[in-house]
Amino acid sequence: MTIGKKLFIILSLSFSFLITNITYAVETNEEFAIDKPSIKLHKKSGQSKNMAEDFVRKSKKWKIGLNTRVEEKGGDFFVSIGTSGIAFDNSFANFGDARQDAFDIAFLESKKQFIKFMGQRISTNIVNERKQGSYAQPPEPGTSEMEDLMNEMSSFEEGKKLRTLINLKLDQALREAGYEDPTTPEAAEEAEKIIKTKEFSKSIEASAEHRIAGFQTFKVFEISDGNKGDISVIGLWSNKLNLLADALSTGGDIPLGTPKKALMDQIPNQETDKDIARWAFSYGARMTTDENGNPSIISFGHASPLFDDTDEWTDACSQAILQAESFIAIFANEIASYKENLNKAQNTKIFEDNANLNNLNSETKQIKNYYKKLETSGYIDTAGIEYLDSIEIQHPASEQALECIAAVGWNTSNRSSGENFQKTNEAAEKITLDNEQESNDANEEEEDGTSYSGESDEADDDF
Amino acid sequence: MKLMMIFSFVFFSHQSFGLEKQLIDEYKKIRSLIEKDKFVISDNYYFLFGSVTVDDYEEDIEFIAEANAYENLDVYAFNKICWPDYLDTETKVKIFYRYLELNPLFPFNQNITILKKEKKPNDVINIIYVFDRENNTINFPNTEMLGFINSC
Repeated sequence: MTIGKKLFIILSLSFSFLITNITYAVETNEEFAIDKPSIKLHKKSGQSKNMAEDFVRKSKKWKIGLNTRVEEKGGDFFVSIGTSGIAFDNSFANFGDARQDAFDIAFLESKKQFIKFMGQRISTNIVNERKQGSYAQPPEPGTSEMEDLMNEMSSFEEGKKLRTLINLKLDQALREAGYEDPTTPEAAEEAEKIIKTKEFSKSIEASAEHRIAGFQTFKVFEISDGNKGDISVIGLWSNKLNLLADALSTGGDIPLGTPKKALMDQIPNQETDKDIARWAFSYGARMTTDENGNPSIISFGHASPLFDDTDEWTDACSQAILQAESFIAIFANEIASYKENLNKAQNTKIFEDNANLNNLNSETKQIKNYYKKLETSGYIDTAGIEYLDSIEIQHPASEQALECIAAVGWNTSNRSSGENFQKTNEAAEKITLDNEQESNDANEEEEDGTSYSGESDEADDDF
Repeated sequence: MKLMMIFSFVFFSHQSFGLEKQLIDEYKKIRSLIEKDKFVISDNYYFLFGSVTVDDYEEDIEFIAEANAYENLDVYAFNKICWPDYLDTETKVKIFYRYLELNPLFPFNQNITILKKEKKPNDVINIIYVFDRENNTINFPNTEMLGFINSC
């Protein structure tokens, strides 16, 4: 190769490199010049959460978290939202189960949110109480004062009892840290640090979990594009609901002003599309009172037939009834187990040993195992559950998405009525509920047969 | 190319829909038998039946029910054999399982799926499993295979 040829090749390569760089530079400059960086809203997932948040903030004018309310109107209440995707395998044979599983996970998530809020509230209250000196003279361990406090504690309301027990644990931690007198300003400062440690927070959350009795679904939102969907649960807790849970598990006094309609009249009827939509989006169990003022539970179960056939529908409806019945046992036993721990508690260890929800992963299998344990735990005898009604629907998601939804009810008067009590509902006349339901137009969604959205009945505002 | 893809999709969609319909039709024919017989063979499918109690729930219920379904299949296979009268049950069982050790009912199954899961009021969960006969063959032993003369 001659020098001229070599020079030609080197020059050609250099020229090409130059041209490439210029082109790249131009493109880069153009890119910067033309495309303005933009952030787009991701609207593909969790839309039901937006619906639920809008409902809480805009329609109800509530906050997610603690809502303050005057005592005469029932006192403070907590609102939380949990969301889960609906996982089904497109066969629609398990569509009902998949929706139920999604509800279970979403409800668990909303419970976890509540536990977190309640834990934070307990911590804040304890720190404030100590700073203000209202916990100035704690009894010494092993003294008669301590014994008196322990005896007196059974009469404390739940929140006060929990705070007292955590305070005693905090005193112990302070002593271990070298603060013999837990009432000094230095000790109060140290207490604030200790309470924020990971280990102590865990202990507080385990205790907070034991205030969950009464936490229940306020409203459910569900949306799907036909393939992927999600469910959001608005959970609500108030002192009044907690007292109703107490009445349910221990036979205590029923809080005033709770609904007094026959259970049959508290479930949707089947006359209009709106009523049917209310069935479709009703899940799980919720507390109420019946027409005689007995603390009661209404529960909804969903099950899909394998295919559209009379025998399969019969099986599916039996499954839906069984499922609804099991939710009553789970709901009642969960309340009773927490109440029992609270009554027994002499220190916070019982809460730490019996904390479940916060440690539970959001997996269907884990939740089902937890429910199964509760169902068979026998804290409350839920014999005498009465069948209220059932409905067979074709879900707007697909013509293959078939579901039987069953409603059953139980009240505390049935607890003593024996296993063979099979109540015939005499008051089965259907009265349209007064509750105004804000529902989006289900008919409009039905036209394409794939996407759908909807919402459950709103629980009674009297909580 | 796009047309090919569309065609393939339509073709396979129809295939799977056809299979499902066939399964439904065959299941309809056997559904009154499966709970009692625990194992039923239809034209194109094997249907197995397994049960678990709530006590087993902490474990993987599908797995336990599947194991129970295979036990039920063993019982079905055992009862299909015309056993000589002079053998007691213990001996029959020993011979049967020794034979199965060497000649399993099927070497492996493909695509066994849960067709239906049903909770019963007495805390029992029944699961019906299905697998197709096209990809799976159950080799039921007969009397001669076990080395006996069939006198039935």
